[in-house]
Amino acid sequence: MKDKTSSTITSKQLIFVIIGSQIGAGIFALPRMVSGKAGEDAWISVVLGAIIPFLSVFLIERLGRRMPQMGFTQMALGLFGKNVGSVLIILFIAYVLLFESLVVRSFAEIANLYLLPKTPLAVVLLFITISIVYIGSKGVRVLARLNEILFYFGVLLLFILIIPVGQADYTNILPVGEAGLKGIARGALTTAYSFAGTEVLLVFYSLVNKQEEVLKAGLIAVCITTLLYLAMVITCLLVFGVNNLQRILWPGLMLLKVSQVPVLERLEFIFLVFWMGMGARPAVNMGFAASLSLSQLLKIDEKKYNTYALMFIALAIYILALLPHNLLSVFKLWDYAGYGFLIIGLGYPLLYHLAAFMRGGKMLV
Amino acid sequence: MFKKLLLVFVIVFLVFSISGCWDYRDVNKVSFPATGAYDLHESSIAAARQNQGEPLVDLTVIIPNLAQDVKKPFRIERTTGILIGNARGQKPYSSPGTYSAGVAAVIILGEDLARAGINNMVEALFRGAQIPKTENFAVAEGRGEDVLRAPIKDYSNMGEYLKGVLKQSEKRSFIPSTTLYQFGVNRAPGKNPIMPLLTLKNQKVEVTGTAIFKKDKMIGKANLDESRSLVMLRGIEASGNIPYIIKKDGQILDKGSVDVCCGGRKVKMDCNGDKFSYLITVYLKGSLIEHEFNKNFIQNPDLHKMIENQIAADTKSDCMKFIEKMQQEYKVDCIDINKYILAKWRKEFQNQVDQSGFIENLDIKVKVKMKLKNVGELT
Repeated sequence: MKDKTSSTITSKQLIFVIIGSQIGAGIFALPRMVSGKAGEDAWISVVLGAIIPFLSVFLIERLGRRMPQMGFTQMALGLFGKNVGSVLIILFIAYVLLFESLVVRSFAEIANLYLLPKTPLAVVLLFITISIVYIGSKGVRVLARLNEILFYFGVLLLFILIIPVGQADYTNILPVGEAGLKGIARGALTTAYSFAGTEVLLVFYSLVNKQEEVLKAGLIAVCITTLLYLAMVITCLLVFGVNNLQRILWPGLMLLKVSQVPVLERLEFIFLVFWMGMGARPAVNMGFAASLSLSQLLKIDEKKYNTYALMFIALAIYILALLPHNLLSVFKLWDYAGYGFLIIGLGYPLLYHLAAFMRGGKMLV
Repeated sequence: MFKKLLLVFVIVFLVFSISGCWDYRDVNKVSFPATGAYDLHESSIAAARQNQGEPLVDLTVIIPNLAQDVKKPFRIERTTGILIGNARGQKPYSSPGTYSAGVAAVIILGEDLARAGINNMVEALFRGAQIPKTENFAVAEGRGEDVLRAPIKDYSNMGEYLKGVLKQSEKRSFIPSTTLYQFGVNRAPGKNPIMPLLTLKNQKVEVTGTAIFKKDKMIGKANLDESRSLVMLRGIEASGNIPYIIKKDGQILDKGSVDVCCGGRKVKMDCNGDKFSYLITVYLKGSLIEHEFNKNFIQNPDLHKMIENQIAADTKSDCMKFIEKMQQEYKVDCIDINKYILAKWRKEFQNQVDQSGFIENLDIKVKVKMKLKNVGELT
């Protein structure tokens, strides 16, 4: 009953897929959002916020280990029956649609604001949607390789963020602990939402060739994402301070505009041109996961019809991404997507574990 | 075959769309300002001084003429609006081409406007995604527009001259270089911005000191000597020439000058009850540029130390005078030390550090450590 795919990926590639699913445009807004809750202690919140994705990876891996021969859809149908199982799968797909529509919309808004101010948003969104379909149609291995290449590329790009450290003021992160437990916890929850993407493991688990290495790969991925988030939040705190951060929509991008580097006059444009290739990564990965789940739910030949399922998913993402009135509406919807992550990333595996425990290994379908 | 055709169509569509169907602009038809000046409109000055009414602001810009066969290498344009963005928006009615605000390297603020407060004026600069936050700021004594309209001989326009003078000015002198970003972060609680002060003297624009701000409002001026102390006390890594005269029993033992580099500061804060005391240690190092011809360092082994001590003592004395002026006249923390209180007790003092009476009651002491690295090629 294992998911039939044209190919499988290695556990190393899984690391890049998880990182790619987590890091999107949200990294640029994270310093503002988390420091708004935890003030100077935002960096502590980032570290604590990583607990939830760690837990999510752990629960999903244990679930996969419990039923190694089954994919996400087979598990849902087997544990909950056809009706409830189908509803759970459809809810997962709906979550992906909502979440990824916000990812691509945020990405398009950044492209629109900085690089293509007069190009209609619908056109920018179309570029991204076409990319989702094209990359996804090439299969999971190509998708994983792309994630790997973009990861190395992204790390190189993030080195650019070191440049503004010369403007840092260490007093901006002092005193430590003044936000109190409540403030830090609220900041941690906000950060946890930014780690959304680990739930992609629900679908990708069955596509990994050495499943005994999935836990290690998942934990490494979350560690790397945590380090990148931490670097971004600390740099922004040091360079801007909490008060200024609250006024900046995308502090991570503003960072590139505070220092002048000879020859490379406008760092932010250079950074963004390359970032264009990376901003849609979460949508590509999650879109693929959703299309695979849809193909399996409809019991259609994945090899033959997965591209059509992907087109349907991408079209839905495109339409949903056009709906929010403006970027501020998108930010409001992010909160709901964050709750969705808690439900899918933590609630689903817990529910599945509970059902598996109650069934005692007996499947319904 | 169908798939390949579809792929070709998609690639062609993407390439054409991204390469500028909508965002295409002919460079020859874009106006790139080299520098800008923000001033209160003449009709608003009196009202603004009394904090009355909504002032109008003038935006004056120098725009180099990019087109070939033009009579003048640049043109100066002025528009008026309720805020800078609005003044910018008036340009299409009197100026050809698309105006691109993102390339001006220097912004000059008129003194009246600076004293009235500039938060609302610079908002458009912070908000504009196309605008870098590295634009240099300076205050002009009088109107900023006059600075831009001053005759310039050796540079293509005043913008180029000001860019050369103000960009990284602290590397050549004890004048702070203040960018838009630095102005922004220095409005936070416990901090205050400073900016270079420009004066138009005999048709020549010169830096004559530093404008002191309380948040977004200019409240005072420091001359060049005071600016040197201010820069050192603020911990800005700056370089410049400092003269010295060593006297003993009323007689001049030696005189000369040293190229000094301020290597930052170390601030120690103590709290006794509700009384705060500071010890600021300023670190200087430098190279001897010149001194009395007949004095020889080999024959006068103490001279090296005496020069170090003299410069340290002179600098300390100047710094203490500046601190006195800061506490009695400016009454704002322009040397950026309140942040150390906030680093320990942010919640308790965030609303107090900027209140009147706070900086005045601080006990601030200064220590200067000078190291003469070398004396040049002569003995």
